[in-house]
Amino acid sequence: MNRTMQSSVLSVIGAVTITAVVTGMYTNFVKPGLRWYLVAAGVLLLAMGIYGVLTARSEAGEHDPDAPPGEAAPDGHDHTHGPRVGWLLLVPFLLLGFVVPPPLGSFAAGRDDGQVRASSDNFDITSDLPEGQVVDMSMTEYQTRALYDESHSLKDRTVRLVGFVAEEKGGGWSLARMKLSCCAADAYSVKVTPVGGQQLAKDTWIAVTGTWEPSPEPKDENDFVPPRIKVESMEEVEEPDVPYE
Amino acid sequence: MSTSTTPARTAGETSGGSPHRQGGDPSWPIFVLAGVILALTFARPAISGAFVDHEALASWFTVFVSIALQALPFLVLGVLLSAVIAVLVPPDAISRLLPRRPAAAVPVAGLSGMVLPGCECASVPIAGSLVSRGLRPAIALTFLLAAPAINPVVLVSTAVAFPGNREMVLARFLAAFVTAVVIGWIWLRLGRDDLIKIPRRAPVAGGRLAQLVAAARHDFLHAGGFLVLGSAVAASVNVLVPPAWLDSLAGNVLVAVLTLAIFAFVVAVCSEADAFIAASLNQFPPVAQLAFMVVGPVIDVKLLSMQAGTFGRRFATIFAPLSFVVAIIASLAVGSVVL
Repeated sequence: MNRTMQSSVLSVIGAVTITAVVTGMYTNFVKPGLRWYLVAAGVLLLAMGIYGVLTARSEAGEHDPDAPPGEAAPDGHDHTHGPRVGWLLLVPFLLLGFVVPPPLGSFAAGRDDGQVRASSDNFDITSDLPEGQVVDMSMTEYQTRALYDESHSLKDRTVRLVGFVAEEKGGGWSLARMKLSCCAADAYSVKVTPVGGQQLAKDTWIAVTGTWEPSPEPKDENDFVPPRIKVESMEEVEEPDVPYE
Repeated sequence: MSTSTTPARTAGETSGGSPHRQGGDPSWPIFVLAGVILALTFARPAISGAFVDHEALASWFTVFVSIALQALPFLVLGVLLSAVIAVLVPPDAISRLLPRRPAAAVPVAGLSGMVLPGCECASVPIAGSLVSRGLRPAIALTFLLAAPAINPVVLVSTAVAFPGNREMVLARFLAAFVTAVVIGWIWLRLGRDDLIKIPRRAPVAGGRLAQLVAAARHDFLHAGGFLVLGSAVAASVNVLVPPAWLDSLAGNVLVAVLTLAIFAFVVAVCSEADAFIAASLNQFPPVAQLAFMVVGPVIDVKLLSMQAGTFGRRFATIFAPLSFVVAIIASLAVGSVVL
């Protein structure tokens, strides 16, 4: 990889990263909180790339003109060329920019039991729900309130949850949403079991409006039974801008 | 990218000037790159269709891309800092800040890891830069091991992941620090600095800015390339290994510790996120959760790949097992006292 090419690779990675933030596609992979760090990294890479291309001629011209091109340095490592392994960096970023893998869905959700874990989300589960006929709620909040709120704030309230359809191994289906700590590599699912309502094709995004209903007791302490929601109505919705919670 | 050489000649000739003077590189790769982008764009509907039919494949790609994207800001931070060290800091300045006796300098280097708020992707190029600036490898390696594990960002995320469990944060800090310092001392005693391929850079003509950018660019492509290799392995584990396998190994304490240590090695999550995963593995005893968080920032598949790339394969074959074993022992020792 010569210097111009190295700089071009940096520019492509920078440009793709900025584009992914601007189009919002980056939320398929990482938390929205990383947005400005990604923009900063993209801008720096783009600037380094442009600077490198603009100065490539003078750099190369002045650099050790007597050395035959491409000869390996004494440590067996050719320094007039960039590291060849650097080409690999293009793979994830070309995929990010020009293929855009989909957000994790029912396949990933099928790999765990759908129990919410300790997280940095802040909500007070003992607080009363806001006034109104139907309360929009994250899957995380619904599950946390259903499992841990001893004041039963969900009781007799109508809530609206947005998630995708996940098939369950033993038959039936769940409303599921993937949750990230940092990036999709650490994703896990948060599930709620709908009672009633027609099962749609897996990975269909739906909004479920309904009321909380108690779940059966778990068999033992390692068994997890997701909270239930009694479905009043159900509609297909667009995939949310941020597919994860 | 090893396509035919025929377009190489034509492109090289048309680019004008003396191709030899410019490093002898043809400019055809830029056209290959443009062609790949074009092909991907046209193939996108077909690829999206394949993703719908092959969910595991789609998951693999998403996880693979996400690791690279998540690491990018930290990688850029790391290579820029390492370039600053390489270009602007005089060779002996860092050694002068540290105690003269290497054995005393090791713990100081470990503690100074607290000031680098990043994950392990940032610290490998920085350590490489420190070694090439003449710092004793044992001291630079201690910093490399400590920085991703004991910086404030990581400790805060650990506190968040284990609410009301301050012992876990303390245990993590102590075990990670002990691991880094002990490995530093062992490396001093071993005296096998000859195993390390000292990262050297091509001299770059021009001002400091030109040198800085050249150093950062080289490190970015180098460390980043190995990062991508490691994330491919981690994505495969993520998609292929059923999580239920883990549950069966949670009973016996020693087996549990070893299981989560190996798990940390293969899943290679960022040290800023690993506490959340450790917390979720609550069927395991706390000391095993601790081992997961102590091993991960010290050695995992992507770090192994990056270390082998930066310091050479011979170094990595000694250093990686050493890191793994010391991290497990430190977790057991600290865990049995604090947890």
